[in-house]
Amino acid sequence: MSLTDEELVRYDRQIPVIGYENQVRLKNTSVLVVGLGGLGSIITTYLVASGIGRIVVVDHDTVSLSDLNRQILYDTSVLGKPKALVAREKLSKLNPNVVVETYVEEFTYGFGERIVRDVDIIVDALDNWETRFIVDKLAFKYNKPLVHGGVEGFYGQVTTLIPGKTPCLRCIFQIIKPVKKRVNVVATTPGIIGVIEANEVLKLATGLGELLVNKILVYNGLKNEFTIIEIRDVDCRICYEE
Amino acid sequence: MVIRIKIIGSEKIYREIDVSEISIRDLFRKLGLTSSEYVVLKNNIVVTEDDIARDNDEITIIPVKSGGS
Repeated sequence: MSLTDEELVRYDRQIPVIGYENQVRLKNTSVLVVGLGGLGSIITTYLVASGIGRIVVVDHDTVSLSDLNRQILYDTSVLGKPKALVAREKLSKLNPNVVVETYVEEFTYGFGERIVRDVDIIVDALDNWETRFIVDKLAFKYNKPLVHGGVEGFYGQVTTLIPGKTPCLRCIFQIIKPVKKRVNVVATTPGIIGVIEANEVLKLATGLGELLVNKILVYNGLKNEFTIIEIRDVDCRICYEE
Repeated sequence: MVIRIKIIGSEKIYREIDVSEISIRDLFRKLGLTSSEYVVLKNNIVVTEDDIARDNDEITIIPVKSGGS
């Protein structure tokens, strides 16, 4: 696959940085983003703008007024509409070269099995551990890199999981009793964490730079601190489970 | 007989406790940490609450964030 004349102009400020071959690699990459809230808004916008070839998005929710402080894909004219459908329209306008595949569905294990095998990279833009661990299990079952992010208040974390190289999410994040709860967050935190997640995807797709593999990046927005914690080998109980 | 503790939360907290060994579960009680949403590393290796910290170990505790929406 090569780039069209339109794409050469569209990515004119990016190709000198990453190279033509890597821009083509982005075009040949398909990414699943699970969740279209604060993180998902940012991640999908940057991945589509940067020229990822195919993006698959899943969210069963509709747009609420209280989403608009941080979920930049939406505005007051689309209140009550399914996020996935609004996202498809907005992302397709941003970059019509990208195939945007949307599902207004809850992400269950059975549903995930149908779509995970056909993507190259998975991105966690979820708001609860229960569904994250479903995504985690599928990522390791189908040998797909998984970029995790989580936010609350002015704080967040990012790590990149690669089957065979890192433990799975559940083995790192020993959440004893996952509960769905309301999480409050300032507008900018999903922006910062989402951009870092999108940047991990760009590096995964191109092979450029260093990934947050066996590392957790911890963000503190009140102190302008990014702390990277290294993780050494750990016995993974979930990764290779049948 | 010292276990070094580093908590990477809203503040970075560094502490030392003077015990020869303690379970991670008991360490949490001692530190007054109650939430279950933490990553805990012993000398950079992820551990569970059943693991034991011993003399000279460094325990890193990261309160993790679950939000995304």
